[in-house]
Amino acid sequence: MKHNHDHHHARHDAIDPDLERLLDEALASPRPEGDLAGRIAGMTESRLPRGRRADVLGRLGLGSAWRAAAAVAIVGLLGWVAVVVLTPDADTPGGPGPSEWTTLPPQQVVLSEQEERELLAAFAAAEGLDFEAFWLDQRLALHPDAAVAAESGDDELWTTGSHDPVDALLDTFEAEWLGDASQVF
Amino acid sequence: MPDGSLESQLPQMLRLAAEGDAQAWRELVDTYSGRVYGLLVRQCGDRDLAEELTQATFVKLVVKLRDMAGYEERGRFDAWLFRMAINELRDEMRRRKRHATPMDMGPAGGSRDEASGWAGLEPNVLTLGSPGASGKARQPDEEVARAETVQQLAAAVARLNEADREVLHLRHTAGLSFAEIAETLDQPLGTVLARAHRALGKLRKIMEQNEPTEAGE
Repeated sequence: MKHNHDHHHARHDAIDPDLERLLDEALASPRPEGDLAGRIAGMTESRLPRGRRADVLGRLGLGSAWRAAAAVAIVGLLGWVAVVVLTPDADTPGGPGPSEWTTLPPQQVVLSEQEERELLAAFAAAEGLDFEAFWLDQRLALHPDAAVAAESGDDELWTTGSHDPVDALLDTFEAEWLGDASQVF
Repeated sequence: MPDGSLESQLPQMLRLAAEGDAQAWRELVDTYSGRVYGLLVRQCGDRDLAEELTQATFVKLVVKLRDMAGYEERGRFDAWLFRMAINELRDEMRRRKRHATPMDMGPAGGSRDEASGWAGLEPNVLTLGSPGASGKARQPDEEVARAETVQQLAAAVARLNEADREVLHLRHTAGLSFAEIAETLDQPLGTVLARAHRALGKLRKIMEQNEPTEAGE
């Protein structure tokens, strides 16, 4: 097989150039039957490293688009997992209990005056108190002017007078209820 | 190496194949499968087994390519590949617990298609020292004489011991340099050179013994 001899290394290291040249001929590589290279390539191509798939996508012009779409999908999936799956539901067993609440970031609760009154009324009821009586008693006890105002119907005094009883009530309320209330609002 | 250009292309071919490039892999298989097959046929004398082992060698190679992403060819690929092929053969021989009979198909042997390569070659240079008649058109009787010489030489190789044959097959069938043979067989270069020198001496002696008889024909 002539081609086999042609590709042999230059005989710079030949021991006996003439004899070796004859041996090239005598021991020439037997030619395989049929398309051996094709058969081997066919049976081994599927075992090529995975980069081949990326190359194919790249050749089709889909490589970068595919990677971008995959990145978006992965980020979206991770976000969904973080928000929906990993965030426990407060209403379900295993959800955040009182100890967990303290570790939650503080929530800014802005209540309207009406809402404050309703919550305070609920708090007073839970405490077995008559809210209005409680409210008035506190105001009258601590702020005699309020009693006068109440009797006189001076709303300005009522509203501009000392709110310490309300503040105290609110402090208690916030300490004991606000966490729960924050879940509501 | 088939030629100088392939030598320069081989590193890139290997790199691309290691990255999974199917075209580069096909070129690699096309370039080397014939040589691997030829060596194995010479060594085991069984074409079917040689093809099976050639396939096994390339299956092993493609698997190893996965770990060759950063492979940098430094002229050692040939030796590595042929060592894998020889190891495949040795493993198979061990499995079969039998010794292969060297085929050493000469031009008059099983590979008749090699006859086309005889034309245009130099006249009988076994008389040693003769520079040959390269470039000259040979006479038909010269071609016949040379063909006979080549055939006798192939038969003489078959009479050598296995170690000597292995070196000659790696050299003249697989086309490796002595340095690559040394690496393939994991032997010192001096050992390989000495073995090759002795093998050529034995061949010369065998051919000289045959010469009077053959010359009389």
